[in-house]
Amino acid sequence: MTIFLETVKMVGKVFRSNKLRTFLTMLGIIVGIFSVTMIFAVSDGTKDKISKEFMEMDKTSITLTFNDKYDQSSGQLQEKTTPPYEALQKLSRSSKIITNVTVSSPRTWKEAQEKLMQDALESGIDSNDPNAMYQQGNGDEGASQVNAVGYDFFGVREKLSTKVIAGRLFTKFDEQNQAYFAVISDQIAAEKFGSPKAAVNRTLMINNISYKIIGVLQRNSDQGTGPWDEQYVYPAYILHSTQQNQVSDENRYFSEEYILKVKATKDRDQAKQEVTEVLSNYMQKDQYNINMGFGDNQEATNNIMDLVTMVFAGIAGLSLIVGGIGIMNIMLVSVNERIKEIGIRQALGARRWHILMQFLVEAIALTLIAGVLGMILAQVAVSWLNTQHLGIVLAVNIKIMIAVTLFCTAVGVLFGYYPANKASKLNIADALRYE
Amino acid sequence: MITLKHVSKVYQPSRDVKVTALSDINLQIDENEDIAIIGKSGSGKSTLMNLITCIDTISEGEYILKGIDVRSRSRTQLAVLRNQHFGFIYQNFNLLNHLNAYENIELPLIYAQIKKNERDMKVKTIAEKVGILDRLDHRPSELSGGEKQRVAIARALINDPEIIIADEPTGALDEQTGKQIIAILKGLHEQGKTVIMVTHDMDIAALSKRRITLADGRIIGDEQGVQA
Repeated sequence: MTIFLETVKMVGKVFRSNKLRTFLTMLGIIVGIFSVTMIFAVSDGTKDKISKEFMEMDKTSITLTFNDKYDQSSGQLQEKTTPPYEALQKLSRSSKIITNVTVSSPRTWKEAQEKLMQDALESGIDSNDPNAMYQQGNGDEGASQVNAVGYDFFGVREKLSTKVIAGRLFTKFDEQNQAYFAVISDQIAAEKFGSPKAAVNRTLMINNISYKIIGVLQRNSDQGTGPWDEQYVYPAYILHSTQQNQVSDENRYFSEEYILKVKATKDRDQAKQEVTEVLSNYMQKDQYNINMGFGDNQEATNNIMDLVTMVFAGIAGLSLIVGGIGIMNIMLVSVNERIKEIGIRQALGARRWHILMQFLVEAIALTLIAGVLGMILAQVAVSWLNTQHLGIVLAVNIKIMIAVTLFCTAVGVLFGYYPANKASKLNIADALRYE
Repeated sequence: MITLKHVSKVYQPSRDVKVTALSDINLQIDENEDIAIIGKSGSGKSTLMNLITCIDTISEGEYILKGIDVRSRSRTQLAVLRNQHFGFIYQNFNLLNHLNAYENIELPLIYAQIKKNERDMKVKTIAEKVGILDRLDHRPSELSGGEKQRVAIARALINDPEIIIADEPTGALDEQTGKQIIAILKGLHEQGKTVIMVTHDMDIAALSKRRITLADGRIIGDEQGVQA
């Protein structure tokens, strides 16, 4: 037992006396562990984020858009395509799988919009954010974007319905009565009225018409959401049915999207059939589009994931090989340098097992210490990077880290021990002469 | 104490090349002898020393050391024999550079599995004897040639072996320092040890009581008597 302790002390002396060589040996291991851990941290974080975004997509809805007919050559409007709203509503009542049909029709007023875009460019406002644009303009004259929706729009777009922070949302009753009600965003409420609560029951002017504010929605606070998410809460939501009774306004841009909600993801194909049937009674195929969204690409998603994993794993593997070669290298060189020392020790009476134990302890101590340092460094780096708002969250995979540490230890021990074993078997006289 | 009978050493560095370093060596060495081994480069002096001190194996013949047939001993047993019966002093000192003087001297004791307190006592005692007690915490790179050789001598003596082998001990030293080292070695002989010195310097060889001359791997002379 004493000889073991003596060996440990001896090993400590060796490390202290040749700090550079010790450090270089450890460096290979530290870098190997650090880089592999980081690669997996980034890989996992990326996959996580991609998964989340796919998950966020609404997998139980189908969207319908309608195309007006234009003359091919002159570009003139030939025929307006009118969506058969009543028929679609009837379908949602009769269909076993379609639960809702609602509309989402964002609109902006031309002149004001153009002016706003110009101002936005000059002052660096995000022209994609309706709330920012609203604030920039004098919203009361309708310079903002509003979304004219079906009464059950918030139910269909589930995420929005959970974000009511004052008042209420539209009801079927409101729609039937074609009420001039508006639901606004918390940002506008704060801007114009001081607080969400204060905004309820106040008046909002949109395109010179006054609407009563009945509810306030909170903006989505998630970072980095994708295009499938209702990232931007519109400054104001009004009832689509009400808008329709207005005098047609040449001055506005608008798009209309009909959203059908189905019971389950698997029902979407059947729902598509049902809708197509109904629509075929009212218009031709080229007058409408049915968009199934991304939700059914589960398989494609998984394939992408696997590919991502493979690519990253390949890079990590390569990095490990390079690191391993570095460790091998320095170990072999180290032992080579010390052949004479091994000879001297044996001349003085060291048995082979003394030498082997010394080098084994050295190799293990070196690799383990380096391994721990590598792991600590990786953890510190990951923690720091996560405070830097990169858009993805890095996570240290403990299993990978330990596996890599063990691998590096094995390489270090093997390539520290094996040549030492050979050197200890050398003819002592030769070893002493070795230069 | 040491008996060599018809000993030879043959090297075979490659398949077709055979080198005979020593042939038909017959030698008897007793306790408390003062021997100089002389010869030109390549005469086999160092090879002979390596065989005697068991750091190399004999190809043919018989080697009896203190009644033990060396050829029949395993590598481990030979290590123990070396540790107990031989002390080495080299021209280039062969100290471990990353250890200080104390740790260098202590090394044979560690391999003899002596405990720390006992080791400490022995190291200090021997260091005082050779006159380097005040330099024990220095590394070889911080010591002069003479001091390094003293450390080597202390290391060689630490297990109190009967035989001291010195291979060109003054080769790397200046004349003055060399003389001091020789004096220490003669002193050891006076204390009862067998001192075998390998040298090509005839003046130093003249100081020994017995001179063995080697040439081309053979002993060509073995004479007694100090030449004044």
